[in-house]
Amino acid sequence: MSKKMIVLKSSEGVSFVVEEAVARQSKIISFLVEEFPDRELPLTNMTSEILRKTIEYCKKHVVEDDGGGDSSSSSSGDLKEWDVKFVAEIDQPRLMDLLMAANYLDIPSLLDVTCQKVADTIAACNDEKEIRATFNIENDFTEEEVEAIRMENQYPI
Amino acid sequence: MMKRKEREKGSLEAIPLKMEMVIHHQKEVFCDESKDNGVGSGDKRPGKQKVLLSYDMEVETLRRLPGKSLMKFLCVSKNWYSLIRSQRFVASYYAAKPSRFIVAFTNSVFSKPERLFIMSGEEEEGTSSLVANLDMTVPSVTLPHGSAKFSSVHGFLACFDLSKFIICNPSTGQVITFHCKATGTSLGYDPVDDQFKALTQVTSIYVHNPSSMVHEVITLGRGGVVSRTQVTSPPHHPLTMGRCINGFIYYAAWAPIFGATPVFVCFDVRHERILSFITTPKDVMLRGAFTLLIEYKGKLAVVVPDCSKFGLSFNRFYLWILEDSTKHEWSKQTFELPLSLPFSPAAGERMISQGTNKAGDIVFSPTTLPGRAQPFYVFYFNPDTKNIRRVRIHGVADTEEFWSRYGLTDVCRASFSPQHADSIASL
Repeated sequence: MSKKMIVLKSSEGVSFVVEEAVARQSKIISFLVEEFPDRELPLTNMTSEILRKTIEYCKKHVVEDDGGGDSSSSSSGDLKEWDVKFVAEIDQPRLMDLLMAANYLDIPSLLDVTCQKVADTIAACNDEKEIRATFNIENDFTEEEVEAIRMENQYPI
Repeated sequence: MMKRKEREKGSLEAIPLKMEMVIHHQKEVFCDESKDNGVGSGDKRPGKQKVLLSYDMEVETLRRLPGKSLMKFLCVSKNWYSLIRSQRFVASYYAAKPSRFIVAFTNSVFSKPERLFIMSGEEEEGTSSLVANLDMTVPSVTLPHGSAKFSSVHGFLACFDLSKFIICNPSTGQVITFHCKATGTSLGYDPVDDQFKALTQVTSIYVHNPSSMVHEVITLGRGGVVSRTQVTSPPHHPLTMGRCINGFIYYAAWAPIFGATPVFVCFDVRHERILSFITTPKDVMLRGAFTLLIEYKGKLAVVVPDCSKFGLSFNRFYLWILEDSTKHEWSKQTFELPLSLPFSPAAGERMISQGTNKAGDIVFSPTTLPGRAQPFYVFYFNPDTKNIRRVRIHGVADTEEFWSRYGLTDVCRASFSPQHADSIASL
């Protein structure tokens, strides 16, 4: 039995041909495949780069069930290691895009690893200035306000 | 399967779209306002500011951070501040965190400096070793008395030291200390109004034949005491500290005077009144002031060690469960332990229970540190298999280095609370 393929189209109009089982890890795509069979699915808010990354993740995580019984293509320990490497290689803005893509497409495991990576990055920052710089957040507090929050929340260790 | 998809409606419409969708540049950060479920973020953010993540995704990310990091990063931006402080985030943080255990201990009463140490670690099933890390220390606290003086209530740890009542949140490091008129103060939590209140006794237990008793209800918030109100009840002589279960504080007492009828007093935290005196078989309170109150499957229960065979230790205990607090119905189960545990009412070693872990094991822990640089062990008893598991809690003052660094000497009071929940709420 040949594997069923589907076509996903990025915001730049680039088409990606993906095995259905791979794409179905996205609950949204899974739903759409049933609603609109044999149709190209336009993902107009995902760039080719992010879509490619997402597919790369899904390919690694697909559970193959054509060989009789469920068997993941890799052991869970290997997968974890692979995930860590996968998110480590992505720069900050793209990681955010990937996180939002995981949320948008509803891929819980990808959402989990990307959120964890962002949380780890935040936790590794020494102070609020470093966070603002890393994530490009504007400081909309006055110095007095920052001082007041500090006073209110600094507890003895 | 398909029906569960409703939440993503916004996204669904967006897929075969021709309209509405903004095409984002590679460098721009993705933010689709329409997908935001209308919660908060959209209108608060100035138009030009670069948006990091949608509100839901910020929550999803930030709830993975330790409480102390979140407190440190409150001043990143107004948006972060209001998110971290929002009731919704505090509640989802509380719900998402795995259950922890808390070990609290103080330096010996006779030693300086006086200090309360609070450690915690993640609970794990079936293991024989767990790791505790130091969360915080509170200076000038020592706990001279024998019976259990700690309780973990909805993410906060409460204890009293003579006339001081101390409430801390080990996750954020917050400490509140206030004065109480009596040592019998208990912390309660009302889950309906998300409100912490302490119940303390005003009428001294030494008053002869009082016609009624006065208690003080201390409402807590914004860094301290918000209000104090008084409630009265028929006379009774409290024996234990209270345990708060699902909005009610229970404690053992004699009514109306010491040695008379054993009862459990039930206080309704939300409505601030002593609801009832629950009729209690006298065997439940066999251990007097050492009556061990626990929460067992959502109900009040009492662990009664049977020391009749060995005197100062037990290898059998009774579990009394308050099956129905309105009908005053108790049930009793007997459990044999494969080993015996010490239970000295005086200065010696005593293993007490302060609750169960998530899996339902009844946990027995020592009331003092086991001695200078000695390993700290806790016992998990499984009421179904009747097996007992000894678990070493690594990091609990078990090195010479720790004892000398903090000047610990002699007998140090300790307490172990299983199923403590991580919370970033602040009082």
